[in-house]
Amino acid sequence: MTREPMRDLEAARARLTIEWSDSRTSALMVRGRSRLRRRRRALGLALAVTAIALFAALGGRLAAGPGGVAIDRPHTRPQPQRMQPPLPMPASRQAPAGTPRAPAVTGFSVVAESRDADVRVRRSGRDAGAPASVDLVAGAARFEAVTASPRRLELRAGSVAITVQAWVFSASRAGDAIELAAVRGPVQVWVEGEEIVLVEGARRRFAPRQAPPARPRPRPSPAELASVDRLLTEVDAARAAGDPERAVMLLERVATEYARAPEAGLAAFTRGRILLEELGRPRLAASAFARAAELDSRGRLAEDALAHEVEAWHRAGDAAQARDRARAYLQRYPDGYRTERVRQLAGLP
Amino acid sequence: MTADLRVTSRLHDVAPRPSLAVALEPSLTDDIEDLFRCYAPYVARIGLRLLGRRDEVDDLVQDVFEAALLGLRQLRDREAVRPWLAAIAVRKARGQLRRRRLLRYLGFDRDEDYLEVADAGATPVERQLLAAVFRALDDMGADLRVAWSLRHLDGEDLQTIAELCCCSVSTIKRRVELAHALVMEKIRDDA
Repeated sequence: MTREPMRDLEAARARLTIEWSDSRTSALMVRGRSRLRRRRRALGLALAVTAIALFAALGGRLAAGPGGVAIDRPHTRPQPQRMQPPLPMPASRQAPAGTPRAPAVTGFSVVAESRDADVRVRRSGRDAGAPASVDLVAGAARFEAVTASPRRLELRAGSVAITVQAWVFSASRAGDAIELAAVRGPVQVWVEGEEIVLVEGARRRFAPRQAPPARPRPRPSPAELASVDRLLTEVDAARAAGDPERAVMLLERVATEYARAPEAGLAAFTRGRILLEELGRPRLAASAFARAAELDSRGRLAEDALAHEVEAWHRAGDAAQARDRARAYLQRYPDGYRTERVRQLAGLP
Repeated sequence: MTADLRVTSRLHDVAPRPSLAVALEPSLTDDIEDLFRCYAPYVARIGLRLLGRRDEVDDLVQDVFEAALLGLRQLRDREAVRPWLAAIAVRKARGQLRRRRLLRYLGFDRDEDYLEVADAGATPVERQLLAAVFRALDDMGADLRVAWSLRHLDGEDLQTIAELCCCSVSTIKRRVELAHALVMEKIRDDA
């Protein structure tokens, strides 16, 4: 060491390097996501337990949710502090004589609660990893988990699809909506990525999401159209010159800076195709297709963009995202011309 | 759809050419994973220089990724991604240094000679100097340590450090000067 440690330090600090690799980043990201999931699960559980404890402490009335109906509880009984297996169904709550018997679903006992009850099994639930799935075509039915832990069930009615995890709940079809009532124990419901917890006795209606009223897109100015035209000419030149990276960059400018232009949606879509097919970057491609669907939400491009987004997630190896987007596609375009392909890519039945 | 048809022909009719997949700068609308993959080595470098322990860098990078996952939607400016991640890394590292100092005070922190903090290319003199510096840094509070490390180990300017540490330039200047005197004194004692 010299007499001037700072000068030595200037040189020595260049030796403070760390070898880093993409695989190391990937491993850390997997660990990070997994830890976040665990934290969220623990938080959800803590909230549910707190809600149950509060409910037990307050007793009486409970609002069923925003805009929901307050439910009168004629009597209060001690609430369990933790989940317990369901009690046998009282005779008074059993289905009236003559009501049709609903088909059995793995893990659940299904009892029709109305004469017109029509429950059809889409997926039995015998395969591990996929919950049972039923179509509630008409009427009302009561579902009871017949296992030691609450079971998960996918419930569909028209375009509404919810996943329920519960001990005992009742579901009825009301038009295009599902009305759910938590009969015993808390009911966890997942709908369009959102998690809702219904405490025992609560009810909630799940209706198809209303599309927001269409807003006329402001017309782009002539100057903007000219800029878009110039950018697209550059895109052509870049692709002709074998420079897809530059084409992608220019297309992104069209899609973000000139979102009002009629070409914006198609520019985002084309960007996705180049990223997917020429540059092999499926994750970026997926976000580009999502942007295309957003820009052209009412046009014919949206369906194609959503289907391509499923394919991009599939190629990225993200099966969960692919399934999620595939479900969105199938819900939005049940008779779409890419239905088969989307199901196949996402591994959906 | 006239305009669309015109564009369709312009955008799709050009035959795709094979090309090298050059890494593009990810935009905010893109996946956070691509963003983070781009900046993870930078975060790791900050982590090493602030913490001085290679085995703690992975945990720091993971913490920063988690914080970024939770907060990315609040970020709107593409240019801000790098400093934003750096600010998270500094905040996390400062927390870790505080925990470490508390453990040390309670007698639970391990004795570290810091001879492994320099990479394999360091000369013995450089290795000894860096070890002495990190041992000196262990004796001071997290705020002083972070300010000095960012200035003299990472080479950041005072304005940037002030932004990363969320305090004024004059505060940073004062911290760096105070920490510098302590580090120099310790190095001279070691020599």
